[in-house]
Amino acid sequence: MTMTCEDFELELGAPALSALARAHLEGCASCRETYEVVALAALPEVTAAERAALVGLSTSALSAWRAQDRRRDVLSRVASLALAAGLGAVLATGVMWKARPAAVAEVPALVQPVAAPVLLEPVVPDFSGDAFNSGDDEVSWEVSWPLVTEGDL
Amino acid sequence: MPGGAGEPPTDGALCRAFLAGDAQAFGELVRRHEELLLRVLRRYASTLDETRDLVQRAFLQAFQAARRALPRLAREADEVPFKPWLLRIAINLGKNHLRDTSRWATVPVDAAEGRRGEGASAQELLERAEQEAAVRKAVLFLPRRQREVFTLRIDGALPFAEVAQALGITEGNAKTHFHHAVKRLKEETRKP
Ligand SMILES: [Zn+2]
Repeated sequence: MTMTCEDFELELGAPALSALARAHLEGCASCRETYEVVALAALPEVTAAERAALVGLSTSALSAWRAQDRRRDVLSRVASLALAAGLGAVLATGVMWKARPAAVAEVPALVQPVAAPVLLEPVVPDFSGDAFNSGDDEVSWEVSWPLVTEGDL
Repeated sequence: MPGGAGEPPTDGALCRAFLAGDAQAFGELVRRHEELLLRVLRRYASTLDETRDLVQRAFLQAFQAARRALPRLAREADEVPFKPWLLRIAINLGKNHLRDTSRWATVPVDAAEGRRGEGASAQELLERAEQEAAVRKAVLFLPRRQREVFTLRIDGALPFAEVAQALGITEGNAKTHFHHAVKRLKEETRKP
């Protein structure tokens, strides 16, 4: 049984070449070139130093996750308070508007600066998980559920 | 922790367990995939510290993605595709990191150290290192999908089915992208 060049190429990246692939490699110059290029492109085996760098990662990642959650909770509370304050200000403005002396209404320059429309829509940032990754907009977008399938041939 | 004495728990079960409050499940998931992520992400980083940071960020973002998606996975049997998300997030983080730092990694320093002393002359080693640097740079300049498929296959040593799942494409497409990536890299190395 023999192997085609296409089949050989698809074995690259597998943990080890099959006996068939090795036999094909012996007799095919094109695949030897392919093999050499992929070997140049591949990174070396993971070293002991690299493995050592992963020690304790699960603990530090969990701490980072919890810190992130705490930050999110605080910001959510701040946002709620800001929203409540904004609504309160709008209500207060309405009450003051109704209670204003009639004479004030006759002086337009004093009335116009009341900026009620701004208070009606307070800017509340989005404190969902995505918002924390301001530098990774693309990532957040691309992992939305379900996975997007753009870019197919 | 889910699983017990029988089969090891699936990634999805661990992910659900963690989001329900089981901190051990978090650790188990991280340990299960950290080396794979290291292999995928070190191509994009200049130092080991950067790689480690990217690995950690990939995990955090994958758990965030799972937390957002979980309410939509109504049934307990709906599997959380944690590993595909993790891989997809990782390669995007890697690419963004490269863009933000404007640096082009060739080979991790520690790994390069490990290559020495194989009997080759200094001149041969230098030439080999230059060839490697050129081809690895060419990998980073491959069209996006080709680069994603190539690196998940070569760095991650993943079956094409898993590469396809991570990228949300068909297995056939993943193989086609891989073929084009290899072809392009061969053309690059033939250039004088
Ligand atoms: Zn061949």
